[in-house]
Amino acid sequence: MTELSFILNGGEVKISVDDNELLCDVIRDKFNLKALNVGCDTSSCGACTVLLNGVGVKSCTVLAQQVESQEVETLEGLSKDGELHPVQKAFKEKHGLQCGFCTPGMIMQGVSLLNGSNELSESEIRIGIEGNICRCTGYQTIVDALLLAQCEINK
Amino acid sequence: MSWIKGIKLLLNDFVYKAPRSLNEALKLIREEDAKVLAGGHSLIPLMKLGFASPESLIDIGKLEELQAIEETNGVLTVGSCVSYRALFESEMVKSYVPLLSKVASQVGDPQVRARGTVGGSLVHGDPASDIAGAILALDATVELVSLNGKGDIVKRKVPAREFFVGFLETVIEDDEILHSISFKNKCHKFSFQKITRREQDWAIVGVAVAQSMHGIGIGLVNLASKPVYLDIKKYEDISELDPEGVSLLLDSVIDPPADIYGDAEYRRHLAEVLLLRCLKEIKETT
Repeated sequence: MTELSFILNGGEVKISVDDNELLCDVIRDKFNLKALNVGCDTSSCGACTVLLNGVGVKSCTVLAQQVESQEVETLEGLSKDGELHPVQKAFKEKHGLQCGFCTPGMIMQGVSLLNGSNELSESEIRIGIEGNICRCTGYQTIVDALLLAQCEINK
Repeated sequence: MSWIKGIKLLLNDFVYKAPRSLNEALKLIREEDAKVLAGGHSLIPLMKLGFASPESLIDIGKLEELQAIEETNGVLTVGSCVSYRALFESEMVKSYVPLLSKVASQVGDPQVRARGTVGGSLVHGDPASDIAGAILALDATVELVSLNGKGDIVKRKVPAREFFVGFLETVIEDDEILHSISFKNKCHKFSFQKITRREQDWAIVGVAVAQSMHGIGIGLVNLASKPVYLDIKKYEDISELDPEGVSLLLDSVIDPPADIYGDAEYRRHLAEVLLLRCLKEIKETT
């Protein structure tokens, strides 16, 4: 076991981890933050996407110890003072989900995407979520939600 | 040994070490069954599938000197731990070898590009690696470092064209770390074409072509057991190359694999079509 410290959803955390533990497992099992889902477990589906220093990464392919001293944000960290993040609001408004399994990863990748300064076209948004698979194939409403969120964020 | 518990893929037990300097990293990798970890986007999936089970992982991903992108005396050097994302966001890379920017922006998906590194991809030596195709086309030089008997760091330079040996095999030795990739020629005429079923997939076939004042380089992706360089030196002018010429050239170097995405004949056909498209695009670039 090794002592690991990093910033999780804005607060500094310290925890003991095994050398072979993955970031997704530490977040789900040790911090009991169950929003992120492990889907394919081989960095294809994107359901485990979290923000690492503000950028979306697949936490099933990051060793816990690789995030030492870095900032990690999960879906649970998005809402502030009981107010949903604009991307979360837009997913609700546009019904950007069906079964919901891919949703946390989609939202986190959406936040990562909209963090950039450029205004994104619909096709750039589609390319931006190419690493997130929705097995219900409900992509249209997800793209609608991200377009709406972009408008809200840029207001 | 990796195993499957329920449906979760687990990693074998290993010792994780994050050295603070390149020298320390080079010492640590001399240990039995040690593997170098950069972004982990080739190695961790291999470990999950049980294809690799190292005793220790030496994380070089945070070593600053391996993250540098710099230009000295007209040579652009890219550190091995530069991520694809950092690569295509770099203005210096864009102005020097825009082919590399373009290829980096199309590898995998955004999350993979945020973690995967150029050096990690090269030492993995996947025949379907887009980046390998680009560095072959750009006639890059791969710089490997190791420790000599006195404990000093020594460099070995290998032309990209001699770096890949076979399936997932390169010339890198167990005690070496890929330090950087350097490009001595500015190159603004280029083309990169690949065919994938879905955006995030590996190329079924890819072709990278770069033309500098020193000639034309062609890198072929997923057309043999390793990334392949196609030599067209005997053609002084690419306009001499017609479909038949291209077909003959390709036949001399490719040995396409077959899988669910296509058989060897289909890949051969794609290679020809993509190479002609690349040459056409280059001809039309002023």
